[in-house]
Amino acid sequence: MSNAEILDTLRRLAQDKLKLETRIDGDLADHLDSIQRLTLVVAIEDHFKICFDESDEDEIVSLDDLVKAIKTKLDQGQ
Amino acid sequence: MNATLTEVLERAAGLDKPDTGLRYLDRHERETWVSYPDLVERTACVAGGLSALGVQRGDTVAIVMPTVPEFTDVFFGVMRLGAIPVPLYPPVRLGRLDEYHAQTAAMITHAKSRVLVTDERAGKLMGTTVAACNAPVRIVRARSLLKAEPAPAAPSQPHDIAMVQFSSGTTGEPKPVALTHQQVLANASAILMDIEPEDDSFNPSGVTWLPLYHDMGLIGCIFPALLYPASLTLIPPEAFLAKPAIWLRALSRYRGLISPAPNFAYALCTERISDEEIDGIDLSGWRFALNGAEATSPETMRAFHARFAPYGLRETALTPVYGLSEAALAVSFSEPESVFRSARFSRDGLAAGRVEVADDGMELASVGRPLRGFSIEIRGACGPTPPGQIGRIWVKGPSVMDGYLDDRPAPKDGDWLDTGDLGFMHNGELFITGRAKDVLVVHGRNHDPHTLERATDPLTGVRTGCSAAVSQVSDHGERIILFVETRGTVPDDLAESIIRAVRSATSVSVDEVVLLDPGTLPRTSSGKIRRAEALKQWSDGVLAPPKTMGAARLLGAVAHSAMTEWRGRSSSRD
Repeated sequence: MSNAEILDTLRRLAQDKLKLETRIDGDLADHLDSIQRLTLVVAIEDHFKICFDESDEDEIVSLDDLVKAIKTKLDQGQ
Repeated sequence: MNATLTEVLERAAGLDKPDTGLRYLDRHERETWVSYPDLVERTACVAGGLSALGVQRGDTVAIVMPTVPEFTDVFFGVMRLGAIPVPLYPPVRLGRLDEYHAQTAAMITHAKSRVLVTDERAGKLMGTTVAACNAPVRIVRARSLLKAEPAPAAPSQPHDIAMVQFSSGTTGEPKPVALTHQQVLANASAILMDIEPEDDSFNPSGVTWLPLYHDMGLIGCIFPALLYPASLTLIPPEAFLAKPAIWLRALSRYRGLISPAPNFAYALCTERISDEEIDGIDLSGWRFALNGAEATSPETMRAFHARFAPYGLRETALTPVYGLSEAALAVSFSEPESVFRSARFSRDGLAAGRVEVADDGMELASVGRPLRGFSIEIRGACGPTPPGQIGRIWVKGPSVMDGYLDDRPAPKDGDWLDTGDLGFMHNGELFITGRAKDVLVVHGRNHDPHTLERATDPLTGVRTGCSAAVSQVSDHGERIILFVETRGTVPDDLAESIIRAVRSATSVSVDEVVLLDPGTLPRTSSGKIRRAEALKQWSDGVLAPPKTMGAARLLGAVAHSAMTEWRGRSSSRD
């Protein structure tokens, strides 16, 4: 799966699960409150069948970071 | 009640009731069953492991764990040793961790813990947290403790401190509330008094997704389950928030009789659960859907009932309750198994501190009468208020804390505790109208208004240090409003930027931003912003800048009056 495809899926998940009207750009924490972030991360794990570690999440600040983290997990064949 | 929690657990384990215990579900609804005899064995190993590390009776042990079986192993294992468990919240996922490390380190320091027990996942981040503490703290994995040799229960007394839970108290700074075995068990048994099974052959069970560092999850769910003893199904909070249907499915599958949650959870279920997710569930066994920990909204409860009545939900199940950590948990329950009561009160009256029933007023839900053994008094500045007036809610009862673990003064007057909440009695029942203390409650968690206000300071157009974050009880529950004074050129999207900045710094979503001219917020004589007064004036529509004018506006006004005067003179000359 390419980064662009992951990004598309992410935006769709954010819209479906969080009912977000605005587009996420830049820092996730600026756009999502704690419950929304948690909902998104669980939706991602369920959708892509991957599992993040807390230490992976420490590195994730922006939507781009999230795309890269998902890509890495998928490539590792998790 | 004259026992310790360790004795209560051992009694539950010795009753030979194989169907009682704790059932942990994971995100995929897979079960791990821990019977009470198993739990006793596991806690003995934890106690042995901690003892080998030098933990002694009276020491506090911080616990940072999610909802997994090891949580209760460690919690009761610490207690078995006569030490004091201090449950703290695990890191928020995808969160900014700086704030988390600082807050958690402050709580560990206040609780004077030298050992922190955690799991593999959260454990990876705890090194940074304890590095910010002002004394060395040893990090221990729960799994390693479970491999230790079991230790016998150390003798404890009912009046010994059983646990510490953090409360935001009367200001936003977390305070360690110390509770004895006697106090927490008094609360658990007061809750149980209202909850009797309909028929003896039916074994009651509870379901909870509440975090275990929260009083409603621990004291409100686990302790009553042990005391009864009954089985309890535990769902990780993140699993509920991501898929609320898990909660209702568990209530149906395990015939849950009782399950508490804050108001927002009921709204979340109504909004987010689809019919397909709950096809075939039966909620008719759910008799106590307790609604507390934040303002309860009659509208939310009606919508929840309307949505899930087709699945057997009883209208009488929805039970607004009231309590606070300083009283262990519960203080009042609305009448069990009857339709919750609400009334409408004049908004002007409420703003002025008076109770006036009005058909077009704000609807408030009654949180009922005090639990057995508890008393409630509404007090003003000079003692109890006359009927029909709003005042501060004071409570007295067997589970009210003696004090905080550190030496901070407790907000008490003899046996009476000042809750910091505002309310009134109406027809013998308690109604909550807001908070005298400057604390914001969002999703059942307390926040210090300062942290929200500070987050706005760096923004262009914001007058530094001139914001006020307040919460307002409305028909839809609790709303967070942020008053912000502006300066200079105000960007068009300032309100949006403020919401983003606050969310980024605190993870809280502000419901409304009110931009104000400089000097509008009411202040004390020493210049401190009066948050409650700002909200009152705004609700009354009288929040306005002071009459004194700034230089530019003063010049404008002088020019205007000079012009008017000149016109007047010239017209009189004509």
